[in-house]
Amino acid sequence: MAESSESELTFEKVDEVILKTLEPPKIGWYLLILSTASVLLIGAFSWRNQILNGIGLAGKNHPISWAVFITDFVFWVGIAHSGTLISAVLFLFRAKWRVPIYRLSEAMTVFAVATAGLFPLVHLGRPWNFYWLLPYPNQRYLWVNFRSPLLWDVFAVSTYLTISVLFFITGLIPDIAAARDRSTGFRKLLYSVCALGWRGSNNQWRHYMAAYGFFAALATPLVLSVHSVVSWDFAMSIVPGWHTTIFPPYFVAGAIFSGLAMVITISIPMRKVFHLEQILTLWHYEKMAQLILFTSGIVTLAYGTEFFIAWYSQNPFEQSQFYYRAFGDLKWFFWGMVFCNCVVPLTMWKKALRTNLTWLFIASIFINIGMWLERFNIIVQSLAHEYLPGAWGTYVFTWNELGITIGSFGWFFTLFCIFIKFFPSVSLTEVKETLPIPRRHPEGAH
Amino acid sequence: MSDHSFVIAHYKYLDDIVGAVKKLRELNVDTYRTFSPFPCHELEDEVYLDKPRSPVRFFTLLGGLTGCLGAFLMTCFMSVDYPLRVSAKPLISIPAFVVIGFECTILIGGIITMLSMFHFSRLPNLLYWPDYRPNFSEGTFGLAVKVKEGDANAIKAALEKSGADKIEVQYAR
Repeated sequence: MAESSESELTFEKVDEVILKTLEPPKIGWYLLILSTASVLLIGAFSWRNQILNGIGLAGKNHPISWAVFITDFVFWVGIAHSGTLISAVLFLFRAKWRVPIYRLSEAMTVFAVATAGLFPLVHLGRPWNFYWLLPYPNQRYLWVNFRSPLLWDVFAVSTYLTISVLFFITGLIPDIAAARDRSTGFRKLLYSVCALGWRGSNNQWRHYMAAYGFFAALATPLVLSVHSVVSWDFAMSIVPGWHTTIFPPYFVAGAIFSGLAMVITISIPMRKVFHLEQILTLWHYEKMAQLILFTSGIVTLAYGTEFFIAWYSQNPFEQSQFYYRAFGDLKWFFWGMVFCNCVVPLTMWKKALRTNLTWLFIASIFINIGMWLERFNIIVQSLAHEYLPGAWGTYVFTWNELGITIGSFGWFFTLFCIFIKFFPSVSLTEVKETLPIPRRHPEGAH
Repeated sequence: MSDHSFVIAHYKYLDDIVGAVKKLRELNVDTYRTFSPFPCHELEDEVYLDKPRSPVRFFTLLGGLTGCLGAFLMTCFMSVDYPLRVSAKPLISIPAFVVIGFECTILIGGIITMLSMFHFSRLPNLLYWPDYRPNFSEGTFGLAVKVKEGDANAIKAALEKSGADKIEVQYAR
């Protein structure tokens, strides 16, 4: 862990600082959850409207039959990715800077996948038939089409949600046990049940560490596969702008880029409110900013490659598509994306800016917006400008679909607010693990 | 009252508890367990010296293979049972099924890993543990030795020399 302030931390201090976040909420928390729940209600009301009046309330229509809801779906799946990257991939690489932020980002993964999973249902128009996507025995002996990328997506996202939840719960158990040992009343009862009787005995740690390592090993290829599968929803088709082999790495890098930005967006206010400065130091933010800079470079290269290949392939449809993206009637979405995802992260080359939390917070919001725009450009602009000029079109937003989109943020942040007040949002166990282990004879350490 | 009790030692230093475990091995005492607020490989190595590694790994492998095999059987069976013939493409399209096979490998592998971890760690277990103390989840290492009624003093004396901060005897209920 970083030098400076953390060197003053002790095991007792770690418990004190982190468990302070679980103290009974104050008025600020109630106001926050009231506002997020109000935003959630906007979404719920809009979805209700759509169910009652039909899918026509959304702006999607010929030729753009995948639009804002699929954009939202890809956006939220992307947000989920950095959680798994931080908790699993960086665990395998033994990157110590992941420790104070991994619980937060894992929670973000779980809630973001839970949000993403709603959008295919919203997009269906008749959400009550969602189970038709699953291979279940039915009266007409129909089975699903396993050769369709959409079905791969069902399997990928549901596996991702399940594994993320299991990984999240596994990591939480020892921390809930620590919270149980230091709480009273109703909370003690709650944590006693949730800790499942964890005592941190040698037998428990032995199997726990084995399982945790395997979870990380299973989640690492999973995180790479899920967004690759999501990208194949597009790349397996012949739509100009979609049919490209760079989509899987491009989507995965973009997902990690946007997810890290969301970790920063969430953790900076949390650090301030809960006084976690000793645990979440500037060093951790600098590492995240460096990774953002790196992944921004990958997505910028991907944007450039798409344009280069459109020119180099001499394919008139590809050329027309990419000309349309940059200079068509939705060009501001494209240039907005370039500004947010390619230009704003360049500021992180400068150490003074990547360690400036106010700037990092602002930049992370730009990146979140930019990554939503990226998915919108890929999905909507490609469909708006396919092969035949007679089938070209443009997109008009409706208030109802924007209401559902905004509501999804309310849903995500409401879940998050509840989580941070009831469960440790920083891992007690792993933070303690990074502190120097007390020894009577330090020279004997190996 | 039961005929056995627990000698519970609290340690501040890791090398002290590791030394105490060594001492117990010399005394041929193996009815003990250690507690720590975080996983300590040094302690684990000492406790499980010459013992096989956690069997969770076999269950992960078993779960993964079951998921993979199950997914291929499911996709092949369902594709043949309800044929969707498109442009003379093969009904059993292995490359397409690899995606489902991969996801199910991870899914079932993960679920079985979790269940086997719970099984071997004896979780959930909401019963009272007489040898556990709440400070073992904070920053203290604990060593609890289960002894017969008459042996408590001998073990207590041995642990006193190992650098324990506090030693208590708890009668089992």
